[in-house]
Amino acid sequence: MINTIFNPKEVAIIGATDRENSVGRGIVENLKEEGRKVYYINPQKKKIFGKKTYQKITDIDGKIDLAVIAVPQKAIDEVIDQCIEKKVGGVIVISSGFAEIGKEGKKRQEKIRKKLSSAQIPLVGPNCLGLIRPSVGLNVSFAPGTPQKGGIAFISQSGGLIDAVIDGAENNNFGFSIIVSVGNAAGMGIEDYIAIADGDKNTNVIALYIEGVKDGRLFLKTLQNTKKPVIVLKAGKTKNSKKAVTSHTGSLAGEYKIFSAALRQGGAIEAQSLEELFDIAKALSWQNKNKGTGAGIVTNGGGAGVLLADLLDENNIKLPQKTSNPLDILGDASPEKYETACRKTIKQKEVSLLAVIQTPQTVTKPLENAKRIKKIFDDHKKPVVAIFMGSGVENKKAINYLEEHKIPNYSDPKRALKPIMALINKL
Amino acid sequence: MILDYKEQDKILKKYGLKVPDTCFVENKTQASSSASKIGFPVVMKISSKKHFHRTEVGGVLKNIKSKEEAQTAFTSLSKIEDTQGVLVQKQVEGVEFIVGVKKDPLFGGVIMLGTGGTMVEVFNDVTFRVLPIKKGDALKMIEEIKGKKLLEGFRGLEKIDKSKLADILVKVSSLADKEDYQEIDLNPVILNDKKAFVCDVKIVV
Repeated sequence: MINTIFNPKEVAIIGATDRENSVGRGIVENLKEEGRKVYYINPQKKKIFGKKTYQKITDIDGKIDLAVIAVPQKAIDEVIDQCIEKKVGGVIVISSGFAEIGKEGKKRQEKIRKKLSSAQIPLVGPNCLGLIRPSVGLNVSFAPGTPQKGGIAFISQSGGLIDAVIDGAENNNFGFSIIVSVGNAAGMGIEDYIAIADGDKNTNVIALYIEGVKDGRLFLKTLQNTKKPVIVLKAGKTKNSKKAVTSHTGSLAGEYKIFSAALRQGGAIEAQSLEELFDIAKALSWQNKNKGTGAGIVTNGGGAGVLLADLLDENNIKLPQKTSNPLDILGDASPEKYETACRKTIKQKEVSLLAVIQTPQTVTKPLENAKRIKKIFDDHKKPVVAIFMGSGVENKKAINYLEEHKIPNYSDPKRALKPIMALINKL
Repeated sequence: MILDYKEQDKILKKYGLKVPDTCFVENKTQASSSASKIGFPVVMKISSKKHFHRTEVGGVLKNIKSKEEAQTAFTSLSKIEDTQGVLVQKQVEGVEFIVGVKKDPLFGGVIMLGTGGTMVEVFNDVTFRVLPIKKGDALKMIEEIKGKKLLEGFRGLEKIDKSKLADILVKVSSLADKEDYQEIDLNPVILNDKKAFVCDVKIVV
């Protein structure tokens, strides 16, 4: 981990401002002092939110770990030169107007890349949203806030998708260790971030959004060397969307079938949507895989149980039949009944994972059920997945309880399928 | 350009890829005597540096069962344009796969396995790996195509050891590692419960 970027002691925001609706203000609002010194650089303002500003980074006494740059294109060269003079430990270039806009931009990008590389200063971006590490209270981005901390590292070639994920984060119980916007990857590339996340003690699972990679073999080798589970959402599968990708980030989209095969070869899991990416990621961030072939289902609703059984069967997941499986404990099932059925199911050797379905019927006690499932999860070292269907007040309480105790919940058997397969190492 | 028959044959043998008994013939008499030496039935096909898909120009004739049929076949095959001669090959029965290698702009050499024969494009039952591959990768590839059922004793067919096909994939991987090529097509690769053969090959350089 490059601590000057990923856990800096001093950060300078170049292009800091209090101007409404600006990128510079977004970064200022996101970056809290929390044990680190923050400096604002703006030659046109004496103060920002009552805090002193500097004309340029070289005016600051003492060292600077990280410079975050959000200045207009014409000021970039000068600012980069000053960062090199100041010997900063790392640079994040948020500003756009580089390779993504064409030849001229590409030249400009190459120029700053060369300068920083010969000064041995690592570069994130340009044309990126920035970096967020909830685990160490760092947010050097203009994203709409900081999500809660957790075990997921999210590495994305789209800044907009990061915004969308963060904006919806309040509804989720999972959290993040690292969120990084790759941007044009002139300096550090997607492979560097994967290696960093793999070595990060707060990260349990790595989620990627990818449009294209520059060096297929390097990417594959990185995946093969990664110890933690990697889940990939790949865009640019069809010819039309490929065109949009090329003009969007200036990266190359490879032929999809081959890319998909390379993901399998690298041991990565491929997700088909953003929802699926995080459905799988939350399961793997909370629970360890348990290699196996069989799942046990306990349900208080016959229909939901059959739906899940069908899905598992279609995907060659066995439902061991030592006891009924799915085990339907009927609509009037009490928490005691749930507990007995779950214990009977999970203790079987052939059952590698327990899936508990609950439909909210009149006599159902969701929170009490959740508490008993949590106990069972603690007692057995096997994955447990919940499918508490519905979103009434009582059910929500139960779902939050489950997820606070690392049991992922899915609103629909279909959404639980891939996470279940991932947890028993069948994806 | 496609490598000619002799060069291709040399390369296949170098990497231990088995080809059914084959003779290159240039006239009717050679055709009938080679066919009877090899043993009927035989397949006869044109040898050409230009035709990428021989069946599309009627350049492959199967089920030839006698000397007379071999002579007739030679006459009709030698009428096809850009034909440098005719190959007479022992006809092998079994299930057909395609193994291919191409250079991908992003990953470099990649290998493909698919359910083979002339309808490979119709079924589109293919999977890929980045080269080089080991036997474990090859076995996983086989599991990824629907055509694997053809090896598992489908509808009364004999069960065929999957590792025979995996061995071919690994041999092609080492071929691609050392030889010069743009694209390689091994189609069909025919397997039965006893043997596995590469019945047709195109090495494009």
